[in-house]
Amino acid sequence: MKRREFLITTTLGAGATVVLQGRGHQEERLIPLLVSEERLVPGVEYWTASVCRQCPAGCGIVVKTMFGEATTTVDDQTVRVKRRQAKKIEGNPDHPLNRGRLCARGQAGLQVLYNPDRLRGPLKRTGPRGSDQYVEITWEEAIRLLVERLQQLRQRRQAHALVFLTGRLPRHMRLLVERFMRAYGSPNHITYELFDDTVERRANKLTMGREALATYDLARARYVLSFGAPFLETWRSPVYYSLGFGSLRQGRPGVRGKLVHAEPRFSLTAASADEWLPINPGTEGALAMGLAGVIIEEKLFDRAFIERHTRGFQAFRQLVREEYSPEPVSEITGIPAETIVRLAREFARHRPSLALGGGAAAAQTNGLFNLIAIQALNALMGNLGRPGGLSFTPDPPFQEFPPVPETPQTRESLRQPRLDRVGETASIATFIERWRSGQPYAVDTLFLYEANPLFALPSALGVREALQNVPFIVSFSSFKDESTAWADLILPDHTYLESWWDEVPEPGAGRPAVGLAQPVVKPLYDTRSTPDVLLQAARSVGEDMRAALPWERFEDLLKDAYRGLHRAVGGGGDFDRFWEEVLKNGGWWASDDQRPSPVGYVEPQTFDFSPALSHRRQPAFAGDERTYPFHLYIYPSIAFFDGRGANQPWLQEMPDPMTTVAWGSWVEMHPRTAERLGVSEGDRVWIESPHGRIQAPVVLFPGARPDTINVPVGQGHRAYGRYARNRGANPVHLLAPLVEPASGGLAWAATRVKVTKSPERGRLVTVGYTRVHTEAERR
Amino acid sequence: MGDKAGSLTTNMMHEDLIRPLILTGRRFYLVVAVLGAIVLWGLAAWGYQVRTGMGVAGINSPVFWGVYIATYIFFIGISNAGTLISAMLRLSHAGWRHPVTRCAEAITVFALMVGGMFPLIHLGRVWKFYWLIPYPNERGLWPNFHSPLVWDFMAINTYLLGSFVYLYLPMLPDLALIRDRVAGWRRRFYGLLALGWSGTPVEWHRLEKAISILAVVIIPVAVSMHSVVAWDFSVALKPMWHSTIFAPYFVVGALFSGIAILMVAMVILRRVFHLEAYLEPIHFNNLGLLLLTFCFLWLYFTFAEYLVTWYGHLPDEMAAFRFKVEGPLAPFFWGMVLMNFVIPVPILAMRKTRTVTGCLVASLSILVGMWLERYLIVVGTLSRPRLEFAWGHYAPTWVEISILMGTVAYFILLYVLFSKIFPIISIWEFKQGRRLRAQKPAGDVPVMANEPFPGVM
Amino acid sequence: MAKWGMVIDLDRCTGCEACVIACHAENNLPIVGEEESAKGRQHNWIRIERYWEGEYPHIRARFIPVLCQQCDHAPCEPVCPVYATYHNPEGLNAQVYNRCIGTRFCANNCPYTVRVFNWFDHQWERPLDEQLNPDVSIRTRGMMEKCTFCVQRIRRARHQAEDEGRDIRDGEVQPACVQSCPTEAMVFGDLDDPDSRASQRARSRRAFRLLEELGTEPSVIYLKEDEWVEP
Ligand SMILES: Nc1nc2c(c(=O)[nH]1)N[C@H]1C(S)=C(S)[C@@H](COP(=O)(O)OP(=O)(O)OC[C@H]3O[C@@H](n4cnc5c(=O)[nH]c(N)nc54)[C@H](O)[C@@H]3O)O[C@H]1N2
Ligand SMILES: Nc1nc2c(c(=O)[nH]1)N[C@H]1C(S)=C(S)[C@@H](COP(=O)(O)OP(=O)(O)OC[C@H]3O[C@@H](n4cnc5c(=O)[nH]c(N)nc54)[C@H](O)[C@@H]3O)O[C@H]1N2
Ligand code: SF4
Ligand code: SF4
Ligand code: SF4
Ligand code: SF4
Ligand code: SF4
Repeated sequence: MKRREFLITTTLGAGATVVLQGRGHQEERLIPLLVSEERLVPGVEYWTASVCRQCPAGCGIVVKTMFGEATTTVDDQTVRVKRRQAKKIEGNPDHPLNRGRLCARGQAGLQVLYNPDRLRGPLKRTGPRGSDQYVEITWEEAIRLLVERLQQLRQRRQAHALVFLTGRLPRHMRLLVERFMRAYGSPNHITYELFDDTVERRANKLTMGREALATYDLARARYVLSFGAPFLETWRSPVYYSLGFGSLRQGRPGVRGKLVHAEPRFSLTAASADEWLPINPGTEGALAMGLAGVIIEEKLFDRAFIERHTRGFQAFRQLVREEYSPEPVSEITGIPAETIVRLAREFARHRPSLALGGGAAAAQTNGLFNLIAIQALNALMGNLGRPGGLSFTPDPPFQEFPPVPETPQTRESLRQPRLDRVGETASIATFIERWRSGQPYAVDTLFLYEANPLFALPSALGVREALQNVPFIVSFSSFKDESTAWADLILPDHTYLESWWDEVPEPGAGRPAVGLAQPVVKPLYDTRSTPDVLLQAARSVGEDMRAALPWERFEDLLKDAYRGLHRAVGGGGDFDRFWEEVLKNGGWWASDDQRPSPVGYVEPQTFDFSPALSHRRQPAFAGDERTYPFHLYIYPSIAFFDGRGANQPWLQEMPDPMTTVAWGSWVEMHPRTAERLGVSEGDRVWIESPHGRIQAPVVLFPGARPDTINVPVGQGHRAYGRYARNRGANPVHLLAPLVEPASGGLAWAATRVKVTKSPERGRLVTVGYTRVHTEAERR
Repeated sequence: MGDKAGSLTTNMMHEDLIRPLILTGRRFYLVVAVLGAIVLWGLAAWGYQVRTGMGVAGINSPVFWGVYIATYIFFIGISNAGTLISAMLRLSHAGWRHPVTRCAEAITVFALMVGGMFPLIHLGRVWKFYWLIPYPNERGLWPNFHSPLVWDFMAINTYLLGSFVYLYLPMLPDLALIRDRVAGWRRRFYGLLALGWSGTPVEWHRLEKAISILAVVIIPVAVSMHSVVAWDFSVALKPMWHSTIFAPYFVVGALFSGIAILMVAMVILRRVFHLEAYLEPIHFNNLGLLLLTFCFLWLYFTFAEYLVTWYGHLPDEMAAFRFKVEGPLAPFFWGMVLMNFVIPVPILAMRKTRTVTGCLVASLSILVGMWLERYLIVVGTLSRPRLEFAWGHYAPTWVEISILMGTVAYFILLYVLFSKIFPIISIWEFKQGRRLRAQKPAGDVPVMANEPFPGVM
Repeated sequence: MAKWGMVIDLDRCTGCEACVIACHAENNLPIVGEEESAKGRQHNWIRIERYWEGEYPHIRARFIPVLCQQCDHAPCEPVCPVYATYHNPEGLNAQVYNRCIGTRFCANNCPYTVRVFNWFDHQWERPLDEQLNPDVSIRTRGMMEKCTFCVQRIRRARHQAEDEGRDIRDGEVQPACVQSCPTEAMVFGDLDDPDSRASQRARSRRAFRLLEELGTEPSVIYLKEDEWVEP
């Protein structure tokens, strides 16, 4: 039952600013757009639907706003202003991905909007790079500087030397940036995330023909084997998978599903599992092969599916028979042979059973093999497209825009090789290396958007040197993060609660869906929506760009894109009504019973086993075992994800569920390891890899492998506002620049380290009583 | 016994006991200045705490009470010394009591005044303290009479009132005596305080009667007060608080520390005012024996308390038990055993060491030991709540220590000022005791036999 | 009058702490910072307790969200000298901030250690203060506070139901923590209504109450099954 019934049929005027009349109480109003603030009734809550952007999952949200008073500073004078204020974010109960639920980061989104360290207007660098000397400028000047730069670059026939480095952008923003770069004439829109998904996409492409992220239907499974991915915390779509997990466990009368989790660290996901396998790093694929071996040997697989829908099964069977019988697999993975046999039988007998791989399993030099082997388990169970299995979520049928027209000049510069790509494989490592070396050509202007490479990329890649040598950096960040602090021009974006944007969640919820975000409150400061800035710049750079990007504002682009959706699914009626409806609902999604929906579901039809043979590799680790005796296991923090949440005090103060640490970094160490090293809880240690060293306090962690050191990612900022700055350590800087060679994905789980006690004293804030008990205390 | 006292002339006695009220040495000013400075410092710390918030103290979750409440019990405990001891001595006609009662009763009043401050000091919103008082108000809001804190409030105030009267009434003849022997403003001052006492037989009769009634009434009040303090803890559902013997245990502890502080006070007064002739080794010997008895009583209660907990071995109780006996508070626990038993018992048991100095050492040791016991009771239990995740620990901050020192100094200061203004030994009672002893040197006589009362001289 | 209760399914709960942040956002809980966090003075009305069991590699961690259990026989209530914490007709253990004088006796006597004291006045760095929920008052130094079952939400729902001349519907009131919980581990509702989802879940054979043996009669019911057994 929904808390708020805001799907209320209403009559809406054509104008954009309309108050929806709630069927129920007047407090239960949902307003799709900014109502002029004088019309708000004090004390009444208004709810606006939008989308969460604290991680790439794309959960639907509704934001409670109320009319309120605020103290603010205008022209150095403190004044009281009355304005609409955002009070609470909740899950959008109708959004199929998160069905009203949110994770902790989603809840904390208001501290992005109201963060005291937001950039308040455009800035121009005055001192030397990194000196943090800036002057405030007007938007007119800012955009003039931007346009001049772009024009100059074109004049020098160097359009390709513009690099747009972004995180994984939401749906139409990505489209806009791509069109912008195409129209401008640069092939270099480069996307990266520290915890990226290239390896998964490649594995799915090779086995199932879809370069996409699969959606795993935990809710209807009875048995789940997961490898490496902390899917209940941070991985891909934590809320969706948490819902699935809840349902797997206790959602169906009489059915209690089982979760078995293989990961080198006892993560929160492992803690929720019924069984944890502390697998040797990088051997997830071998374990999957071992399980497949037992299943095949005992003929427990889905014969019909294998016969009708797969290729390469015979060779695969041959391989697992020869090389992956339980004993050798036990040897490789560290999991007892009996366990392997038992799990294989359980897995095959309690269907629907699901195998799910990612995270650390993918972040190895043999990550692709690992994921292919794990997907093979799904093929053996015939899981493709079945309830309790995996599927791919199609893109909703948006309006296709005409291709960007090429001019002779853009044709020429677009022919230049993309800096991150060699042949099929794009890799951020390749990009940084080429960027640093200036080969085959130098980067002239760098745009940074939702990307903070100085923090979130291993320094061993040489990001710092590369960044130092770019003549011109423009950052569109809302905050002065590490990389933004090096920018020549800062054009701060609105935060996500003040902007227009949309997101097609991937992996989705198993049905076509898009979440549409609209401004929930008026922008607090003199910031500007980056898509709008790009559109404005495009108009000024040249006529050709204006033609390719004809929209006045990003909102117009979105509206045009949704016309296609309206045509495909709108069921008649005029577009404006449809648009209002979409705004009110916070997006559009096929309803649950529309299966197949008007837009059709795309489900993988065939599975190819042969890549398991062709991509088979052993994991390789950086750092020799003698000097660097420990595996380093970094993992995205449940509070900060890849570090972007570290400027939000709610998240800083949130005790880490496993260790109860707040406000800092820590190193997880097995109690025996700690004893061997002569350190106890709270002592500081140096962790040193061949590429760097960091210091952090020790937490005794009974779920750590004795040969592995776990460090969360997220802290260790050297900029990024008062809450994040100079707090803890960033383990990313320990990483060796290793990649999975076939896909280009960063192998962030493949570095070895050594650990030494540090004489320095520091603080470890644990909120709960967490000490691991000694035998005596258990008496 | 009482040879020295026997040789005192009335004049010498007046000289000894009244001179200090009139002549003031530099030492006095020095002592008052030092104590005053510490009190002011403590006051400043308290002001800082009120203004900034309780957070400036070391208390936290789960240790919501700390030094303040421990010291509160401690002071309430020593407040039992005076009135209770003096009343018991009176009722049991202990012949050696006469020089002791006044300085004991004064301890009660001041310890209560100081101890009673702690519940206020520890209030998060002390400016609303009067909500504890049952006063008629237009909103019909009353305090919650189910709450032991309200019982506390009542019990302490009752005892304070009773003790004050019990201190003041027997002082009337002395005040009158002084009034008649001094001049100037002092005469007016003491005259006012003497309430027109003229020493008629009727007055004497009434006084004696009032004193005997008070002595009977004050004992249950004192016992109940410290029982109520114990119930603050034992009515709570807390491991190692929820104990049936807490009330008697607290009362025994109170008397224990009460006698100890009384002895310390006596030693100091004896030295400072040269009262060797009044406070004789016999007094120390007798009180020392009493103290020795209490060492064993205390040990018995402590043993009973801890044995049952250990034997029952309930996990929640054991967490608190271990925390105290072998955990972070172990030094406090074993320190307490050392101070309350191991050190004082040999000293007090042997005639040879049961000297004035011996008694002083034993008493000081017991005072520290009893404070530690209070600290262990409060902090030991609170550090180990039932849900293990909420376990915590506590260390006092400079604010708590400053306030603690300030209140101790305040207590001493009050005592110093009192002994400066009032005769710390009850002159008439002392005289009376001497006379009784002179008449029947073989032993004690029933007090206040139907003899003429010593008049004002 | 409803008898409000909450059922928390520990088989679902992953310990993700979404409920903790949701409660912060809803109830104007202050951020105390690193120093104060280290002293055990965080303002969490709900906390996720984690307990280790077993030894590596057969290690297990158990999570249990602990909030005020809204005890029917609440040990915190009788000890309050000024009735600042009392039982309201809906069975809620209510906390009257303005009446509290800050003895902290209730916090000591709460067997679940869920009461939170305001050791200081709190500041919200501008403009973080714009987020503050006007339905919930800000507490000042020296006051005790704790989970209220989001009483302001109950009130809103009640007013709305009254306006519409009906009873509160099952599921209409969702405290912030329940609302957020990504695994749907928590259900809130009227335990007097046998058909409410909360009542239904509470009747599970997996149900138990925390420290039940103390006779506090909590309104929070936990569900927990031990291990997966091969069906
Ligand atoms: N604009 C405006 N401002 C005013 C006034 C006005 O008329 N207009 N009036 C002023 C006056 S006279 C007053 S008295 C104040 C009142 O100001 P407040 O006392 O701050 O406001 P209330 O809305 O009465 O309630 C406070 C909170 O108590 C919660 N609550 C309700 N029941 C319980 C309970 O059992 N336990 C707990 N813990 N919380 C509960 C409510 O949900 C609400 O969040 O406002 C003053 N401010
Ligand atoms: N339903 C509901 N009822 C409530 C409350 C609630 O929260 N909900 N809150 C209760 C509370 S806490 C309070 S304090 C009361 C408040 O209830 P009232 O005391 O009735 O308060 P007001 O509504 O502010 O009305 C005061 C009147 O005084 C007038 N006035 C203003 N200034 C002056 C002046 O200088 N002189 C004179 N003579 N008149 C003046 C105003 O115009 C107004 O008519 O309401 C109580 N009743
Ligand atoms: S998973 Fe959490 S952070 Fe990510 S989009 Fe959903 S609510 Fe936001
Ligand atoms: S939000 Fe739900 S799953 Fe997460 S910790 Fe709270 S109760 Fe558990
Ligand atoms: S859980 Fe604690 S605070 Fe809540 S009602 Fe029970 S005793 Fe009171
Ligand atoms: S802290 Fe407040 S609510 Fe708790 S007992 Fe004291 S006065 Fe009552
Ligand atoms: S019910 Fe409300 S107040 Fe209580 S823990 Fe949940 S969100 Fe916080």
